[in-house]
Amino acid sequence: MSLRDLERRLLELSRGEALSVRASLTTIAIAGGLDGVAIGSFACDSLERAKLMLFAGIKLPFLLLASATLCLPGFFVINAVAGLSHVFTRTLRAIVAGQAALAVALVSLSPLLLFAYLSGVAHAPALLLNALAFACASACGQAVMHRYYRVLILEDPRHRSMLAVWVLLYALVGIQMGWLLRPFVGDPHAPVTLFRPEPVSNAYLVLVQLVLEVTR
Amino acid sequence: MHSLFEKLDTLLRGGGRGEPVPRPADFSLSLALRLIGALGGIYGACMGLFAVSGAAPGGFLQVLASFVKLPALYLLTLLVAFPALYVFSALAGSPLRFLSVLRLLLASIVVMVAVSASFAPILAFFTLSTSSYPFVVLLNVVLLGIAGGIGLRFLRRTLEQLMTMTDEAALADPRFPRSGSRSLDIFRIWLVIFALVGTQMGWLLRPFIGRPGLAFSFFRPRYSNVFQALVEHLVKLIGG
Repeated sequence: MSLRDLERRLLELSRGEALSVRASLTTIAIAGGLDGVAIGSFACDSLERAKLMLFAGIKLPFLLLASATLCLPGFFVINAVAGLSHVFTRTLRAIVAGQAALAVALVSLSPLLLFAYLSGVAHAPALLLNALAFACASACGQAVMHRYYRVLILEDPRHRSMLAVWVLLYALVGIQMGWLLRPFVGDPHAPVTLFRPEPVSNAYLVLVQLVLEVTR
Repeated sequence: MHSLFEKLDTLLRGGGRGEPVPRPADFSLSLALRLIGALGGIYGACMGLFAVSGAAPGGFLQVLASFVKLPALYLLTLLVAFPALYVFSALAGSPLRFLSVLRLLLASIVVMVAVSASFAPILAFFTLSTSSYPFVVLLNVVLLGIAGGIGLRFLRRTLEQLMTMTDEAALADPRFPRSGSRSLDIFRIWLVIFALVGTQMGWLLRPFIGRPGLAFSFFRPRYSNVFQALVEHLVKLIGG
């Protein structure tokens, strides 16, 4: 993809012009993969650790797509109940575009992340930095999605609450999905694995503990 | 050479109030890179002088290394921080294009290195007449901080003017979302990130000055971060 191509795509995304679903999906796959590789490069000092880059590169696009896919049925039904299902194709387009924007925003933050890794940041702050990057990128994805929604909201103000529903659903599922798919960053003292060989746990409780640990 | 100075002069004057904004397009990438290399190199070389005056082994190598490393510091910082600014402001609907944003940022780095190069004689004077290492370190932090502040202020003002100009144009085009204020917010946050990355980048690229008693090395082993180290130096200077 050339620079001109990228600029055109970003411009279309930012203006709320329909990017084709296919273009969005390839954007998510490529950008998500690249970002996964960057995230997985933490403390990469051996061939064994380099495997994490590959794992994270595969898992990250999956994380984005799987979270959205899981939320879609519920979101569709809520829209249908509200009598808004006749425009669901446009809603879907907004969702996919928001995901693409999120992925691209994440990639653009990855040089900063790599720089922090290079500066020798420890494991716990590295996790927090990644969470921060995700939060920024999500806000960016939201802004883009909102732009697609603007016309829908003008047509029917109830779309505003639908957007809020999506944000809630997606955040709820996405955070737990990320937690299940870990490690992305990879504890330098833990063996390199595709998934953690631990019983399934709840992300929200662990996050609170992590913040307490860093600020103590 | 003459035209190089003329363009630099125009750029610096454009930073003042009441002067027209230098258009990024007037400032080619290669010109900016040459200016950054030369002006940054001058300041870097003066930083390295401390190793010569302290008769440390390999002192002249330090001058040479700092000559290369100081421009590299600015350019690497830009390399790390630029993608985020570009993508976020593009998604926020900023009408500025890739190359014009890059030119603008390079132009403000030119302002930074020009200001720091103008401090070079003062730095050289203190460096050659002082034997206290922490003093020289802090002097450099202050001088580079002033230069950085002036460069960023130049950048902010140029960008604000550009945004309002393009905003008026964009108002006529309904496809552009209300872009100006949001991109400007993103930009303000980015400035903080840029400053933080730049400071830490300087720490990674050490030594610039060369601690007395240590033999010359191109890089030092990594430990802690710049903000901890600054506090340590301050404590040492005050506590003697």
